[in-house]
Amino acid sequence: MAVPADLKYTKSHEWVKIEDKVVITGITEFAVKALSDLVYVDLPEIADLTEKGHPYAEIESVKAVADVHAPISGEVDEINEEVVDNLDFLAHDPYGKGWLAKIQISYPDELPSLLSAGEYEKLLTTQE
Amino acid sequence: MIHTPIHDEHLALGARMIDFFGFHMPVMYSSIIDEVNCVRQRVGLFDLTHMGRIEVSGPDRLEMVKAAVSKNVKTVPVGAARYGLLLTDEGTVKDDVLIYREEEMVHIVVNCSNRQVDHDHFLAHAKGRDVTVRNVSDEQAMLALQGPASERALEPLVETDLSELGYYRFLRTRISGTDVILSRTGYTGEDGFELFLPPDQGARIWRELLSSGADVGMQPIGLGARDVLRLEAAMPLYGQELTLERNPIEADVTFGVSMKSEFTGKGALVRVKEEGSSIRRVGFVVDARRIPRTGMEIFVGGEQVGWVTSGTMSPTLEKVIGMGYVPVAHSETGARFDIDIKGKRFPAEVVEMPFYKRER
Repeated sequence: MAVPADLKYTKSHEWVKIEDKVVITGITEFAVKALSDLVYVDLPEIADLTEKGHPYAEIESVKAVADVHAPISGEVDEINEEVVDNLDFLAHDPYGKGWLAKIQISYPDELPSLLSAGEYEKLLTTQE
Repeated sequence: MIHTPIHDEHLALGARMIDFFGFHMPVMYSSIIDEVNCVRQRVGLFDLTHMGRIEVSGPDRLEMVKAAVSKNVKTVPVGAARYGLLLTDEGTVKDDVLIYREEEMVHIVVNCSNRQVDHDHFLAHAKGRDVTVRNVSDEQAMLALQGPASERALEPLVETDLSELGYYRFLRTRISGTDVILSRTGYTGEDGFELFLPPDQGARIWRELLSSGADVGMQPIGLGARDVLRLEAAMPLYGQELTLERNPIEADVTFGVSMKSEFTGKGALVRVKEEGSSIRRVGFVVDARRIPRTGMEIFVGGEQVGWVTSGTMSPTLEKVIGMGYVPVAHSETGARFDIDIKGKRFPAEVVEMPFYKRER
């Protein structure tokens, strides 16, 4: 299971790339595999506010609907509209073309609580 | 949790496992969509040992099964299987079953979730009759091969000319040296077979079937794909379309009822037929990539008129499909209503069932 070293992670299987005043976020390869058979992605609107740990998007698979949780509190800056029509981006390239949203950081002091790649890998070993 | 004789094979194949009514069963091996496609295009292998199996023997066996099941067993030819229902006195559905009539015995295959209820139903009908009712669920493993290449995959292992075995027929034969009951039945809308065999041979036959079927692209199939396959074929599932609240007329399963026969629940069904029923099971398609889930509400205008019993994304039709109950007035093909999916309304249209029908 790929866990790129340059990204940060959440316990609910989102990844985060910190870029100055915004983060790019999506769901991890583990989450994609666990969901399987993706049907639909419901993304927020630009300028929607997110709250750390609360759902901001939904992913529907054949079996179930899963919430995607905001890794930080902030404001949605940009969404990946291409992924809505190309779920393969998410299925096959979750850390690249399958990104979901860019969020403006409201509270920089939330960032240190994100997991490092090493910490996230350790979490995964307890879930398999 | 209960392990079937095939359990270790599922683990070795890397299946994702779930608790299914107390059984540790595979929900998927590769992906649900991939497994559905495999059954529609080639052939898939299923472990169905969790299903319940009951045997009825003795001089009064036909009288007893006739009283207990809505399909008249006396009209079923020896060597044939038929779909029937176990009903309450109120005419609602306790379970749906297959009855297999043999010369000296009637075999009944029941839903996993209803093993005990159904055994009790038959025991109650056995009172005062010269019959033996045995719950043989734990004495047999049950496998299924489903898909257009089923016959080709099974042929090399079986001591029978399969082309002679018609749809909904069964016989006793040997597979790879083991005595089995083999029937041409299934729950996917495809051609295929179900086999009943001694549990200690289950894992060996499972492996031999998989390796014999490798040439024709056979894969193991989990319960996730099984649910999508039966839904594409518009086959009802107990606990969803069929419940203790619904009768066979509302559920549109009267092909499983012999109205000229006498059985528990018949009086109530006659009354339902005379008075007419207000709701009907329908199949619908949704013009969106959102999946209606069990229990979601169906609206016409501002009024809730029905509810969803099952829904999925159909890989075969590439459409979102579902079944549910609506008033008879909204049950005709082409009727339109809205489904509330997490607070948003999505339009749906009633279509003819089954959604998918194989070419013969």
